[in-house]
Amino acid sequence: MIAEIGIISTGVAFVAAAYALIAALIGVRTRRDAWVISARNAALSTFPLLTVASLVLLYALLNHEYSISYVWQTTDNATPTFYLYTALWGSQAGSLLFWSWLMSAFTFVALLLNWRSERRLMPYVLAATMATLGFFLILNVFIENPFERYWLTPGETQPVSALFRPAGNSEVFTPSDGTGLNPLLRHLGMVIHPPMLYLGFTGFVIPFAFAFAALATGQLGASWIRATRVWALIAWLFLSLGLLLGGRWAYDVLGWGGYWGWDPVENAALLPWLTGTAFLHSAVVQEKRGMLKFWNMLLIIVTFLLVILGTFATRSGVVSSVHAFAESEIGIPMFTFLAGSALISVALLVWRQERGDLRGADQLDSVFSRESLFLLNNWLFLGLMVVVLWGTWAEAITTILVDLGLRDTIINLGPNYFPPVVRPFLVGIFILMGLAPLAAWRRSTAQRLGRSSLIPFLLAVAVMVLLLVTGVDNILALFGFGLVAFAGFATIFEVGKGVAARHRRGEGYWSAFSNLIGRDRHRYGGYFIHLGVVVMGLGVIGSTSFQETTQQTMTPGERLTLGGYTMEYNGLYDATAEDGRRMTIARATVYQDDDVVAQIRPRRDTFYTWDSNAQTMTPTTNMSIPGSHSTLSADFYAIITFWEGNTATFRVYFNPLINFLWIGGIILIVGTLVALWPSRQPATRVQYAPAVAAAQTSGDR
Amino acid sequence: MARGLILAALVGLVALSSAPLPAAAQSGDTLPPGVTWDDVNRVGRQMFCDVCEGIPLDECESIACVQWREEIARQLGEGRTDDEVIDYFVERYGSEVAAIPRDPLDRFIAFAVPAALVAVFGVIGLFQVRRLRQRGHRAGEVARRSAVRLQQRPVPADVDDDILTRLEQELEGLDQ
Repeated sequence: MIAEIGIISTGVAFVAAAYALIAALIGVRTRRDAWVISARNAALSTFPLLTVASLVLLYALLNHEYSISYVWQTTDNATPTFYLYTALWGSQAGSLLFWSWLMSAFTFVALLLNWRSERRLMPYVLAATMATLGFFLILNVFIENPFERYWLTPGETQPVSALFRPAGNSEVFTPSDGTGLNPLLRHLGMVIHPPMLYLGFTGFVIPFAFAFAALATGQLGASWIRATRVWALIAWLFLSLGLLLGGRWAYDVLGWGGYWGWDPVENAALLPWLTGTAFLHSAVVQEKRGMLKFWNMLLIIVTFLLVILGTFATRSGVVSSVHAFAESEIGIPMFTFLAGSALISVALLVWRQERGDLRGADQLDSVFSRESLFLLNNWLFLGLMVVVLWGTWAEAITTILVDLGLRDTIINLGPNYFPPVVRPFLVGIFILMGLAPLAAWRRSTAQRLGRSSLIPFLLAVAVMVLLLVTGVDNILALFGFGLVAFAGFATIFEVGKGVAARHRRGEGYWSAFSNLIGRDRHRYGGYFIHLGVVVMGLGVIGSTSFQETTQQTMTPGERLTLGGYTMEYNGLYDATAEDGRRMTIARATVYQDDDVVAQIRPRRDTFYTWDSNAQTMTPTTNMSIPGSHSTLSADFYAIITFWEGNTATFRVYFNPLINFLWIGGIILIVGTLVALWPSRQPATRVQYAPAVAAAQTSGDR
Repeated sequence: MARGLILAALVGLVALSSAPLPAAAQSGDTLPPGVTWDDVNRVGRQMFCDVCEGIPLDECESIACVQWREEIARQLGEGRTDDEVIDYFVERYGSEVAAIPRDPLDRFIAFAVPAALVAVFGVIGLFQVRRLRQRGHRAGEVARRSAVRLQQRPVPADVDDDILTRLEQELEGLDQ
């Protein structure tokens, strides 16, 4: 019965999405508002329907309904209740349902919030969101349905997984236990990381829908960019959170001492983040100067396409990754949707450009003006996107070429490819992060910009000299710290100037600061984000340039020294956890200057599952949990790689400044929340026009 | 049939070799004299195992990867250089086991493709800035020509002085 509710609610949600798409298009075509309103109601209904479907699946997971094959695949009797929730997105079918549910939630909120203010755009917003949701529901209903059950037909020895009864006399088969959730997903970061990433991915569908609607209706004024920018910032916030939590999960669970491995799936999430960041900057230029209309459209379309490409990469199995789902049949439909979306959006964009509808007040009065620097920043983000995109897809592209007989070898680009190609762009971005806030809009000169950036520049040089004097002799790192310091000081300097100006008018420092931010939260939230990136930059430079690592085999009582710390290996013992995993735990003492600073317990967890053929428990997954001593200045981080008897081999890392990465991440999130909070503005009267007016306007053009 | 059997045997072998190690037998600490794990990891960091999913060899924990690392250690112990060891694996298992292509042409392509794309983007960007700058100049010229024409034209006598002063101040403000 439970499965039937899930099947029906998902199926009806699909029908509602398809109907909403068709009704919205009929409404536009016939200029009848009733169709558009009907489409809106159908679109709104997808959210409660998919909420029911998701709750049903959650209920099945929590109650071990193993007759549902998804529940059998992702949980077992030993899975702790907490992680039964995470099983909702633990495998392909469930995560697709979760994706669709989030997408419907975003659409629901966007329709409720923007229905009146952006009424003219709404028919096409409905069409774009429902086309995307409808496509994902096609995958969910017809290819990867999480409500398939096991059926046993008399005479057959093996149960089969199917949505409906395969034969008249088939009965639902309920296994006594499941296979269990992938152990790597049993981490707090994994509880929050995928939802954040999905929220980021699905969130970018809304700005795309507004951009698409603006292109389709010809309503290309300030309205769409205002609506889009807020939604893009929301999506960007979630994507940033997802990336940060993913990094933290990798650091804590994957046991390789790092947080970013340039893995294809990590890159898949980074790519839309890069173009989304570029868009958030260039949207400011359009709002302030009415420029870059075509450019902004292009960026938001590219961001949406990268979201779909990332989803395709993660789910189709075309790229090899520790994060990817297993190879699946959804690859071809997803690629078709990607190609279709690209064709339609680019065709619309080119059509509007040809008609001259996207020409704004596009003129640069000075190459040193803020809009010029923002444009340059956009190009740097795009360049960064291109080199990362190639690094991610080179293997898949060259494999296709090999299959077609056009090449002999596959080019596989590992983590070593990325740092040298990414570095020049990051240098440029940090320079601009410092310069752009100091540049004036419209007219600026090199001298004026030089004058305003002199103090931050001198302070950055002072930092470099100080570091050099204190013994930092890594030239690249010195230069990196200098750049990051310049960007940081420039931001602080810019905020400080505003506070000082208000203070001169009689405001206290704190009220001057809060009033300054309250007056333009968008701008000053952006500066907080810059400061967050600066702090993260310190963490990245420190942990990459000065990381030390060693691997040594030790017997109890032996010591190793790394990064000013000494680790004494004390011994090894075994334990079994409540969920059945077997743990081999090492005891070690960490010393600094002969003082004990920490007792650490790096361990290796091995997960077992019942092998019915061998009639025994067999190991399935290993997980290295590091033992670490963490301070603001550095992490001493140790994992066990292997052991025999009491002799164990440890891989030990010394990661300087790594905690700045997480602290900077928190500042970045706070800054984004500040930017999202509405600024104090005088109230305005809004007049509403029916949605059909949009169709008329569009048709009259 | 025979082909199917061979395929099944190969799949079985791959599955077996990529299975994780049981907790009681996490061995692999046999290093030839003069070779350290840091040496092995230095080479492993530049390679991928051909059965595991995109995990650098130095971090991979499957039996296959342990065996590969042992082979790296053995070869380093025999005095081979890092490059020679990687070339040995590339020759045996294919170019995709190297994290950066070994073949000079492939390596060139690996870095030239993004460089070329960035160069194309850069040129488009330059054109865009140039076009926008020209428009900026044109707008400036139009404004200047209008200003000259206005200065040459006599001010009508009936214009109020206050209005004229305010207008000039606003124009100056715009100009700054």
